[in-house]
Amino acid sequence: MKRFLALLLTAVMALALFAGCSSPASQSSAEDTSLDDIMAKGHFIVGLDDSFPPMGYRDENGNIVGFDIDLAKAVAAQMGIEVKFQPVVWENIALEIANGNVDVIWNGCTITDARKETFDFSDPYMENAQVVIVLTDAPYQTLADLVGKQVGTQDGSSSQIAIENNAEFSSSIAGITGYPTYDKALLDLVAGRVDAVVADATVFGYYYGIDPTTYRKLDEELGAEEFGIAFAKDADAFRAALQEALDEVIANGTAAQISESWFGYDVTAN
Amino acid sequence: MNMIEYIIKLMPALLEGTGMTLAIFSITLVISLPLGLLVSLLRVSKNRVVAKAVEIYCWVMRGTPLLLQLMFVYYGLPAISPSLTMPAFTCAIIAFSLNYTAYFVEIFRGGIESIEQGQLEAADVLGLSRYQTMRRIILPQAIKRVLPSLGNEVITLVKDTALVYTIAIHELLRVTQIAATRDFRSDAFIAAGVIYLLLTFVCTRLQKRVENKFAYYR
Repeated sequence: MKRFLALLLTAVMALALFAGCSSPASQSSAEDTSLDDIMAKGHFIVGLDDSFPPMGYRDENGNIVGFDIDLAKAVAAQMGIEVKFQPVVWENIALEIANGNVDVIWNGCTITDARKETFDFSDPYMENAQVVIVLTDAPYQTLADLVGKQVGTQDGSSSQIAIENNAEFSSSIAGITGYPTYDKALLDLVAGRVDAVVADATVFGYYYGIDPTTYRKLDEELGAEEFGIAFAKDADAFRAALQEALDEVIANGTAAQISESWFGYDVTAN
Repeated sequence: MNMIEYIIKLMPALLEGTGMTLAIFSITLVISLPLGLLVSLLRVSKNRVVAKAVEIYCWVMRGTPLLLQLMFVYYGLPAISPSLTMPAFTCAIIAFSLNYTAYFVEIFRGGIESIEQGQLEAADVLGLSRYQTMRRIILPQAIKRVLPSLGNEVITLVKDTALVYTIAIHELLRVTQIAATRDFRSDAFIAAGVIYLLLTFVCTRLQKRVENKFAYYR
């Protein structure tokens, strides 16, 4: 028993240490050296989930590619520094940025009020809609056709928030099944355990591009949202500098060009 | 919102996740412990074909990741035939029970084979049947010997339940991760850690009590 208590005490202390590290940067230092720090090391690190096509993912050769990747490179070039990409587990992203392992989260990250409590966001750089995906031969045409049906999506995603925010739709369906990733939800759509999947329009565009025969989307959508870049709370100077470069990349048409190459049209916010 | 307030706000969700963890844990244990004992008898049977079949089963189950087996039962079987589409919870119980049975088989086998040959010969001389020897002489000793290993496996099972996230079941760790993604905060992981610690603590105490019960010759 004594030994157990000692162990428990050790565990609690270890956890407390962990908690100390993870508490969102509350002890901001007197002066903001965030920009100087980035400039001194000559690069900033983008944290991303590398299984999130087409925003950021691995191509056949294992290279990290995607719309956000190209955009981040263009912004870094504008700032005259390098950019590095650090794959992270999306669930642990808050820890990664709090510990300073990554400088920004730039990964199709939807701006929400809850997230704003922990991080500062850039201005929205892109609009994204939530679409409802069904099998090509399914009888559903409108949201109303999905009454009493099971709907899948990615856990904790903005798609899930969009379903919950649409009270009429969310009360009419049988329930929501939450998957760790969108591709698993789409797999289960084919297996027949769910009747529809709600996902980012960008996600649908990617899978539709790979396989246009299996899936289609309903004409009705579940509301639009905005993507932003997330920064630690105390990095105002760095955020301002990056924002300026991003505005320039959007203004001079580079961003539109990148967008054309990934989506076939300009998705960037003006 | 400070950490304590945040965790209290998440408590209902965390407890629901804990309920799912406990459900998978206990049903798997109730199925795979007796099944493991039965199949281990086939594993040491004199029938070569049966013994070999069980050996291959254990090899496959212990030789591939449980995560892969879960995904096979859930996503793979429906691809083979739509009639094999089962609810997620059923899939989890099937995959976990098959996997843990294989480990229990090997643990029981080790216990049975650790009983000295001389006892078998003595039982034979006394005119005991093979069934009587197994039931009265070997198993009572073997089970006593394997209790610590079984306890180990049971504690591993508590933590392995976290794998069901991959087939869209929300157990304790998954609920925590979802909250962390949604709110961009990581405090909930501490609460989850403490809950797992409490669960395994109860397992350890129960194991101790069972071991004491079996220690009747000491």
